[in-house]
Amino acid sequence: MNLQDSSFSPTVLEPTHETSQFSGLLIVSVIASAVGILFLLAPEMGWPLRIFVTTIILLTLKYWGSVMVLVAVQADLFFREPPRSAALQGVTGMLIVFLIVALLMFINRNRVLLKQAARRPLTSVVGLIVTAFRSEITFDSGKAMHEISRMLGATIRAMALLVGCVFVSRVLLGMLPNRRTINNDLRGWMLDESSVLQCSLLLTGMIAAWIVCHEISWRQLTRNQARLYLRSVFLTIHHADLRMVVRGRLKLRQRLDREKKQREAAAFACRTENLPEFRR
Amino acid sequence: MTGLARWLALPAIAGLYLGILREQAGLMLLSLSVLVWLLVEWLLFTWRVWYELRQLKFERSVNGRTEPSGILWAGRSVAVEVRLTSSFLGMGSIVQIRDVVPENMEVMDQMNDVTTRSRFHSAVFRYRATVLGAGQLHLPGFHIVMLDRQGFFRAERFIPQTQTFRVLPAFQQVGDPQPLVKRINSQPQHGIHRLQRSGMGSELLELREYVAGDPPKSIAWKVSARRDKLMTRQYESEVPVRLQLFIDGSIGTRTGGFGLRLLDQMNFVAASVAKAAISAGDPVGAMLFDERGLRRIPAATGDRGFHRLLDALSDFSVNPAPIPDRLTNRLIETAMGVAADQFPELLEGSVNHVPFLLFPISPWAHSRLRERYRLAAVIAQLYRLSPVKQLQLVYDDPLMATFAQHFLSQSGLSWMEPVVSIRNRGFHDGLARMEILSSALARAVSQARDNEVFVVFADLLECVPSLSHLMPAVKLVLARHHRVAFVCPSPTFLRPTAESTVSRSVAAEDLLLAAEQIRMRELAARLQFELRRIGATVSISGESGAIHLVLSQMSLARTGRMAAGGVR
Amino acid sequence: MMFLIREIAGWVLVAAALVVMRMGLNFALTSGSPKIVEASVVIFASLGLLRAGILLIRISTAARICKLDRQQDKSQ
Repeated sequence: MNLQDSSFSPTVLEPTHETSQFSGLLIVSVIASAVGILFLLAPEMGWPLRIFVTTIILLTLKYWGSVMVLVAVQADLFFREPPRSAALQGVTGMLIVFLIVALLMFINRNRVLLKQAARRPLTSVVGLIVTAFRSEITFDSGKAMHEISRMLGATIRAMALLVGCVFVSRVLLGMLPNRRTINNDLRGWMLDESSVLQCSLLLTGMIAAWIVCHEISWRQLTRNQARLYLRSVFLTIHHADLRMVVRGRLKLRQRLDREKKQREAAAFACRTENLPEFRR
Repeated sequence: MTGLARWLALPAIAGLYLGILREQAGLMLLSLSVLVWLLVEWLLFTWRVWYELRQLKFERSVNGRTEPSGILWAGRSVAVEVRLTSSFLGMGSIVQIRDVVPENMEVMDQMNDVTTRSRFHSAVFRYRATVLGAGQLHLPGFHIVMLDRQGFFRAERFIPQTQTFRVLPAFQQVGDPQPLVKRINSQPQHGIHRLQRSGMGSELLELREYVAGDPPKSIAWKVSARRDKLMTRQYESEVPVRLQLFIDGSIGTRTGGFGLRLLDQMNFVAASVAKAAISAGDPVGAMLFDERGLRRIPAATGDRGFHRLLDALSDFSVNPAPIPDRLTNRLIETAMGVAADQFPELLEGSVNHVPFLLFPISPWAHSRLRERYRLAAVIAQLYRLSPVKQLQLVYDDPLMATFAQHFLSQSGLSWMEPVVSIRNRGFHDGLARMEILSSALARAVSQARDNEVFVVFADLLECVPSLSHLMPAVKLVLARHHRVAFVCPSPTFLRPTAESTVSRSVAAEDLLLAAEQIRMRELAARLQFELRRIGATVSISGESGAIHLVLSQMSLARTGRMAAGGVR
Repeated sequence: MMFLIREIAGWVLVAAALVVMRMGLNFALTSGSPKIVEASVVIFASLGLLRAGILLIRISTAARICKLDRQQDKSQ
């Protein structure tokens, strides 16, 4: 492969010399951060069990990305977070959630790197890590600057996206009728008609937004897709009738074929019947 | 949405539900944040697919030419350059771009597949490929897979960028057609050869006594004076030698991968001998025959004649619509694979609905039927079939087999398993082939001149039992003093010799190959015996040996001798 | 024009489906005695309406794309 950019640096995703030297560091940091967060969970759990669970989750990172880490964190919250607790509300809660989701994103983004590392022999992976730690990294300053600025830009965009997501989630949660700070009692909430109405409005609004998004994306159909869709809708509506017609035709054809064969066999029998008997 | 996104969404939804039930704010916030993150990623991805794919433009040049059609040569390397232009305003999604190449093209090191980010202004990728067999090469376009950085979403598209090339058969330059050493006193005109029989040429053949009726200008006066009787000069004859090629394109010669077909071997030998003959000034004609009938290419000489012959061979090498046969799972799977490669947007579940089906109950049979519905929809859309015909494709196996074969053939795939399996039908018992070859030989004899070399390229090894049907035509050709050479290539590219029949190892493949070689050797021996007995020459290979055999027959025809020993 | 009418009809059906759905949600979330059976009937009906509306919108969009395409072919 030879991909060149006539006006900018190469855009091919194969790691450049500058970035490939950091792949060992990235692998280490993904594993370290995953191990770190997993070791923070369930402090009452015994060490052997903790190490076993952590190993299992680390082994799934290559295939499942951050799914098992999320499940572990959720399980920890489910069992350890007291109901109606105010500990994870407010800015602290948002910050913790932001860090967890950022970690999930970090693991997902480097899943390809983990897959590549899993395919290579262990010695070469260790070699990569050792190179990174021995500071044997060489730079072409121009390329390195470009790479650093690109990576920095990507990180800032990802952070902004995550901050937005957590903030929106907080606002949505605030709109849902489960604000224990206002209604400490479950019965109190059930009597709060305005919040019920707000909830149904929110759900309906979400469905409406979903439909609008889908319909906007639907308008990007190609001509062949549009034709195929119309054809397939027609076929779905008239499927039973058309299938009956087609099966009928096939049965008729099979019957005609069978009759033709029988006629031919009968004609052959007529011809052979008239032959003289074999005499010994 | 990929499996990863689904697996992430599942615990997030469950966590949100449990968080609401148990009033755990942290669990709720984390789960909802993950869901919102997925939603935002989906929105961004949809926008990218809509905006960035629209901005992506391609320009492909093959051997430096960007025209939609052109000419390539089989067996030669091709340089392909793809220039991409996009908008720098893109968000840098991961885009996997693959220039879809047909089976007739072998790409070196998978270099037609690149992964890039959509955020660039212009970029170029290059790769080299080898064209395998003569016929047609159709480059349909680019298969694009767009992914987000997290691996949550994936969209496949196909951007058509059609280029169609006529692929001319490969040929080998053999020897020096016109020797520089002058061996005769007068050099005949280009393409005219001294035939050592009496005629009106310029080279003296012999002196004989005068016979009443000899032209007075041929009397050798000095010799007559010395011998005291009238002597007449007998001159050599000068005639052109015409090469007539008979090429068999029946099913047996077209099966197998491109470059490995018997037809490719025949094309190679035919083009090489035609080149050698035309270089020596001899006109070359051809008779091309297959199930569709007989096609005659008039004899021509010069570069234009050579290229006309190559064009005809190239057109002849394009596989015709295959004979409909039984439907196999492999055929359906291959057709689905090609459809996923070249028409991924038509296989999307949102546009390619499958009606509700209760039966069959078995999940495997159910999924196979659903797959067939989807394939039928794609084929019906491509060939503009009516909805009834579309449904008929699902329930009528022969119809589906016909369309699937046709679809694969048009997509540049070589013929597949069901075609190979056809035996004892028409051409395969050899009778039909012998009949059409006999009629072609008879027709060529009726149009022939004095001195012609007939070269028959045919898959005769499988038709040895029916060879007696061909014998009268071959005897007729030889009786008219033409020369006949048979070139029967073998599918394994191996000349069936005693060494080739020995198994190299006890592995099943080697034993099978050895068994096949033993069978071929027996057939070849019988074929050679039958044909050589009546004076024809035979080559059981489609390589340089066959070229030299035909050229030696041509040089014999030029000298007028019957055999290399010098018998006239 | 027919496409436009069909599309408007589709959006009207979608809007109606959303209104009915909200009604159904209100039934389910009514304080004191949540009417689950009534809510499920109403939500089921709303889903039918939603499906019909979306089908109309999609068909009209696809048909419009096909027609535009045919017009472009003719003009070429």
